[in-house]
Amino acid sequence: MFRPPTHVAPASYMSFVLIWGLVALLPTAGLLLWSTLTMENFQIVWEPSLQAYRDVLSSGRWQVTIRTLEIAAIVTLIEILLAVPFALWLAKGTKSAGVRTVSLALLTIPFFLSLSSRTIVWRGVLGLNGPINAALLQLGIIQEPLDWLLFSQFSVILGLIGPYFPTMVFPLYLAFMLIDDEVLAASKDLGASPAFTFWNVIVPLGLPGLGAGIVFTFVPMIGDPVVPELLGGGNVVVLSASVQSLLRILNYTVASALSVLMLVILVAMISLVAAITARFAKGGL
Amino acid sequence: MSNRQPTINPIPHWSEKHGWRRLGAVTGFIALSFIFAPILWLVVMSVSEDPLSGFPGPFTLTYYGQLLEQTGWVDPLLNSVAIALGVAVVSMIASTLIGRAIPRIRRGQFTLTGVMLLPMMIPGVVIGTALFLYFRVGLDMKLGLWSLFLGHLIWAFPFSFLSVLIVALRFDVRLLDAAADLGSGPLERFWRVELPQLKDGIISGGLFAFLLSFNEIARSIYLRGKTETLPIYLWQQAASHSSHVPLIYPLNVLILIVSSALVALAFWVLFGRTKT
Amino acid sequence: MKKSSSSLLTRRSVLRAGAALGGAALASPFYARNAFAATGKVRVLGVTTVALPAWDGFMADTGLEIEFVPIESNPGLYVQEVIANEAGDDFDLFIFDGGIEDRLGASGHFQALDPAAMKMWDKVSADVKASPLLQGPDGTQYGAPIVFNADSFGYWVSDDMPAGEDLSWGMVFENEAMLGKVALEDTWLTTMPNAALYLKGKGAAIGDPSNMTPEEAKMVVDFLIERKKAGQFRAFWHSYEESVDMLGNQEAMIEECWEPVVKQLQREGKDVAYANCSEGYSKWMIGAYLPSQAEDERLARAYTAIDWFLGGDYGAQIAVNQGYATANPEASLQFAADNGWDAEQTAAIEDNMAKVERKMALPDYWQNASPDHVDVIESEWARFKQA
Repeated sequence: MFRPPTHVAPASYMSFVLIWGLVALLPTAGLLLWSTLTMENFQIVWEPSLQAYRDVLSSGRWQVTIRTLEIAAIVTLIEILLAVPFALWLAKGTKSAGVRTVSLALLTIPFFLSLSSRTIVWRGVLGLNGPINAALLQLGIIQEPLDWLLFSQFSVILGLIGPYFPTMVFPLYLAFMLIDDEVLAASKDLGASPAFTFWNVIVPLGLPGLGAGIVFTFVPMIGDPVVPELLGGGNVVVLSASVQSLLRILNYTVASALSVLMLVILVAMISLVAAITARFAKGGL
Repeated sequence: MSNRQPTINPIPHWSEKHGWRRLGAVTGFIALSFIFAPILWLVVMSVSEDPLSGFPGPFTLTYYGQLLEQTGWVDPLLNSVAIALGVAVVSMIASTLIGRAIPRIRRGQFTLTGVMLLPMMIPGVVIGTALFLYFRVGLDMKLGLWSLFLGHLIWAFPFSFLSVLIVALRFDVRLLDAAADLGSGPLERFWRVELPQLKDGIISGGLFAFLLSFNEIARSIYLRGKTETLPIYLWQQAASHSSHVPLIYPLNVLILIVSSALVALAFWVLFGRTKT
Repeated sequence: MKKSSSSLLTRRSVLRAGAALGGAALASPFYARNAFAATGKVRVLGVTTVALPAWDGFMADTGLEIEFVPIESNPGLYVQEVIANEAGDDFDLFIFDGGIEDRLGASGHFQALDPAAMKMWDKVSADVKASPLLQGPDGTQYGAPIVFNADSFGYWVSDDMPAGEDLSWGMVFENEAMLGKVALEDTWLTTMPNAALYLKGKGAAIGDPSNMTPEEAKMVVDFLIERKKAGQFRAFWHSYEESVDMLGNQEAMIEECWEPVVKQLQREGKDVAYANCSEGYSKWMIGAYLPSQAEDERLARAYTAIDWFLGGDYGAQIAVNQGYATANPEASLQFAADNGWDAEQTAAIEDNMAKVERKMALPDYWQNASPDHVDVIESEWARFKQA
């Protein structure tokens, strides 16, 4: 039987899709089931109920989804502003293989070190008696130490910038790397200004990378328990903390309901990002 | 003073324009200092007599000596490396299979992509619990190394999948037609035409998978059975009622040194030499 | 409509066939698989609080090796490990925060202790043995006392707050002079009963701080929210390290915390003290429990281990390092004397004995990880954290 050379045998990928369904999707679907049951005295009550969702509303827990999304969105935006120029420079700006290698290595190494040891260091720096407050007091800029430097939304955002920078750079770098130098040269030869080339050639071609970068950065941040716990000092309650508190008393149903709520929001947002990316990527070409 | 030179072409190649380069280097420098200032501090404190005091010095290597005497961290480290390697290899193979297929299937591209990415959007503790309930309570299986591997794979695979997908979306399938016209068979087409084009995405994906697995903790707590990984070990040390932090600092520094050497070597081989 | 209730973690034997996939062989790494069959080894699953830096003394005294697998102090996690993970197959002894036996004893996962099997049992004071954190609701003795204490708060010593004097929990919860300078532990388990203790002392209608009704929980949280809005609390800590850090760096001047935090800061030369409370303390106990699966040889080894934990070597080390109380302080003193410990170390053990006597005498509460209305209490706590 004739197969065109571009044909992919369904068996090659469907087998993994099947495994994925069994080990990843079924357990995830289980969350939906849990969220429609209730717990009484550490026991599950097998009776459909929306009690778990009502609890999410009445305890004010739904607010953690909003706060978590807000923090993740701010940090993701900061990462885009920092990472796009850097990834572009890395992929197309520098001609030195050494600089490129060292930069990429520097972005990779932090993954080997535990996030908590890296994060806890900020506490000394941002604390009431830390060097920043000491310097500001010394200079007479402030009379009292600033208490919002630490254990605040500010410190959480600051602490998240470092750990989630590489996840934004990698996919962007990969996407920029794939842009043919000749396309850029052609754009120049046709008289396009650098800004025009950036917006009309590089951005559309780099969009899949940006989309992936947003997903890589935004989504794991939603579930990050370490930075908000260490730098939020319990004043910034995010999703992971709220879920953990529920799991300590084996309250699976409310934990599931809260997660389902976040999942629905995330899927909606990511679909939107993907749709926009797809449209612009096509339009740009 | 700017060192602008008179030039024949009034519009320079954008990548030759200094403003862009400087901006890229500056933002990179800012972000990297955010990452590495804490790490340097960690190094300094690891050789300080009182690492918790917040002030460096007087300097000593005592804690390194103690670390080498206490070998509790060796087994967890080996477990972590073994799991991360397995996750990386399986992620690379699976992402290649699916990543190359998605741009070429006619229907359900979007759904299939979504289905592959779904588990990464659930907070770690929740997916850990969901998997625990499924395997342990539902299927009555004893947890251990394999469930850690599976939990990490579910976490890491979407990332490596996306890495491959970025590259695969840009792959011109007409090259395969051309290769077929020139008489090469399916295996040769894959090996000599397709794979070289996808290589960067696959390798980055594998690397990503390794790193994500190596540092994973939220899912591991629920899936470990009796097995300890390095992050679990470190976290337990920090949670105990007496301070083991002096040993965590030098351990992190040792990992820093070894991983730096490995990463530098790997990157030089993979990216540094080939593209100049 | 009828409610059908079944145990959350019931095993489904129907699906047993699936177990073949994940047999014990895969459950442990290939290079550590020998652990399961080892003889002459006692395997302990215990909270990190009770761990020693080295177990040389244990091996020398008992002739047994010990494999201590640490677990986080988290009731949800114990229940999972014991019921769903059947940890009793793999471990000879559990050392968990007391209170858990109410649930796991009744469900048949723990077996009752046999006093005759332990040499040291009779030397443990009856009060300690009778703690509700070691016995089931029906009085069955499931646990042996390993480590216990009465918690209060640490503070920087000043004229207003001298060391050694009785202080009120109001210093923590209602202290206009210390707005924004108080740190709390980030859990309902200690912070809500402590606040309840204070309010009760002021005359509020609260029965048992460790087993509050929904109305009492709401009242306590309303009070806490009011104090939070007033700016009383600087931050909430989650781990030992964090709490050391917060009080030590004067991020907080008063901190609801564990006693070793203060011990450690005092060793660093900092002028901090651990409060004596006028209203009472948050008492807790970590007990050793026998899994129902332990039989014959395994059971004998487990009893040998419990005996050692009740003895002087362990007690002396815990008293000096952490300032916690153990079951048999006289044996600790004896051990210190026999081994030529210096006066300072011996004094630490004696101080500890005096402290335990004073603190345990006060009317107070035992920490309760599973109060009757735990879901409501946790939910109220979430409301406080959100506010």
